[in-house]
Amino acid sequence: MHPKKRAMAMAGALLLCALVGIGRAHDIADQWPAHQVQGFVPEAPAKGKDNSATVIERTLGDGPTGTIVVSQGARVRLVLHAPADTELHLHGYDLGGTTANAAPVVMSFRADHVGRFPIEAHGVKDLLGRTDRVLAYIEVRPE
Amino acid sequence: MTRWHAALVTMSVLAASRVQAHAFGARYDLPLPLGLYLAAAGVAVAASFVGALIFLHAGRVRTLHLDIPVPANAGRTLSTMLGISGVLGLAILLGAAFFGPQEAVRNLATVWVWVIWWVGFLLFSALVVCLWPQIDPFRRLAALLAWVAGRPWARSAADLPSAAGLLAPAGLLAIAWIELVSDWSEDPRALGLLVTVYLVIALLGGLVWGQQWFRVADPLSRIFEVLGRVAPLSVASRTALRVRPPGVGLLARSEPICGEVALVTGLVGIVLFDGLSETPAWAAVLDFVSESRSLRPSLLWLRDQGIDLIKLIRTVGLFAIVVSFYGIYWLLIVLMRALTGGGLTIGQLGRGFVGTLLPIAVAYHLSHYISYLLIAGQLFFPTVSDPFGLGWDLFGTRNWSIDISVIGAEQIWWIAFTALIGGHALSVLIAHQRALQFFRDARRAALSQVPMTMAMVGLTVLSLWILSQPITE
Repeated sequence: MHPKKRAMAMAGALLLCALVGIGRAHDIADQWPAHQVQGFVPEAPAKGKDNSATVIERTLGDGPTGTIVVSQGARVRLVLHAPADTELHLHGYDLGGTTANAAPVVMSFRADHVGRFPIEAHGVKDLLGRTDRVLAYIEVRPE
Repeated sequence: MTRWHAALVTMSVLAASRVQAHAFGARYDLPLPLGLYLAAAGVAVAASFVGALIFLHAGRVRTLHLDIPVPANAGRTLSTMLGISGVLGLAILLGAAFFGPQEAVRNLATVWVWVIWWVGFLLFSALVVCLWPQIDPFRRLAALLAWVAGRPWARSAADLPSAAGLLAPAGLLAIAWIELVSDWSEDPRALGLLVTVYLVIALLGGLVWGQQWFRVADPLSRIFEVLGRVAPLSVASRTALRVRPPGVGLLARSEPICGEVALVTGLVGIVLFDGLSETPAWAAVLDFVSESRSLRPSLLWLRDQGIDLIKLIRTVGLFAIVVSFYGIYWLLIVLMRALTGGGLTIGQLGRGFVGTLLPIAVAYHLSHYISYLLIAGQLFFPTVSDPFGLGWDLFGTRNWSIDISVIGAEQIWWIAFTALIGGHALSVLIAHQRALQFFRDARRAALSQVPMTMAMVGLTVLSLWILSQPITE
């Protein structure tokens, strides 16, 4: 093989090895750009029998839309605050409820299914006419 | 039964569940991890080097293929059966659209058209075999109408002006706009109306120009024809099924039809726009526009005129992406011509190489939509049991509940990784072989591929980047 071509081949192979090496050096589970992940497991577990649940509390309009990461199989309790008569919906798991007065919507579930699921509020309109507003995303990662 | 299972079953049994209705078209994929993304990009670059080194040598490009003979009777019967099922399918579709439940997730027409057919059948046509000419109900009905009216079907190419070929990319853009921007795609009655309009246009085109209409102007026929070139199997004739390495169909030397470049770059752009519109970057653009003080008066004025602002921004985005891809492609070709010296016109080069981008686009399309196909596709089962909303339960699947665990995040990641590497390698390989077809000497062929390969690496990395972005509504 022509020496120049050989050099090109080696450069390509080295580049490949380097990049695969970088990839392997990071755990799939915790390699995410920092600004995307906010609010890991923030609050202490709720009182009561089910002490192992991850409690996530969010208020519509309060703070940027973050991503909460939980492991597959974790028990999760969502406590969502919003103005009265707002319909709140967790996609994928299809759980929801409507806020009444000052009471939050509480959803309890086991995160059996892997994926990235938005928690949306319906009925809150903005300038562009969007009626669905995401409070947060739940990412259920494989173990 | 766990509490979760009970909740899901309850949810799906609830009629007119508003909570489900707007979730048509939702995807819950986890973003591609950075490690996989970088490794894939690295392999893509390396594959490009290896492709260049191994496959560039002068000589005739031999395209391998094997023609499996099919008995004439079997071929004809199969073709007729496919045709009948196509027409029957269209009839059921229109019935479901107009008479079935008027919610996207519960109507057979919306599920069939946007999930099973536009995603599933399209991928099937590109990855296995393109059977659209046999199934196409519009073509069959047009041929029937022409026969009844005594009009000739097999007309000469000169009758239809070649500029009619531009109708194909225009139609593709219209379909993409309907799918990605408008609300019509999720309104069964509107969808039924659109399909009827398409049918009427196809019937008129077939009546006036015969077969040529479907060869040149009909958007769906041309889209499927172009994608079918990537597939390993093709219907070579009534009596032969051709088996060939994937992508080899792109090397066929046929007279390009007007609008070819716009069609292929349009396909690539549309496929990527859908993913781009779900990235945090796009959401940031929308937030910026929504909160911008300077734009507020103009936006309020537009909204008062009755214009939906989100649709406007998405339309601008869609057209911008498609036009940019078109423009960038031609710049690439200008560069290619400059590097290789005269001999071939920009038009010839442009039309000759545009198809080589398809394997990457198909790979991205597969990665992006596989979970959608397997999850939203399950809506087919409850909707098919009661297509016309009469309370039937034809197949006993009326209360089928969607199982979102049918495909896992890691499986999707590995499909995406493999598909994009494979698609990229195939694109580079096919482009190099095409270069050898166009330029007799290896040196000029190699030079011509420098901008092309770089563009392909760019396209693959862009596809990977989109897949690695967290889906943002």
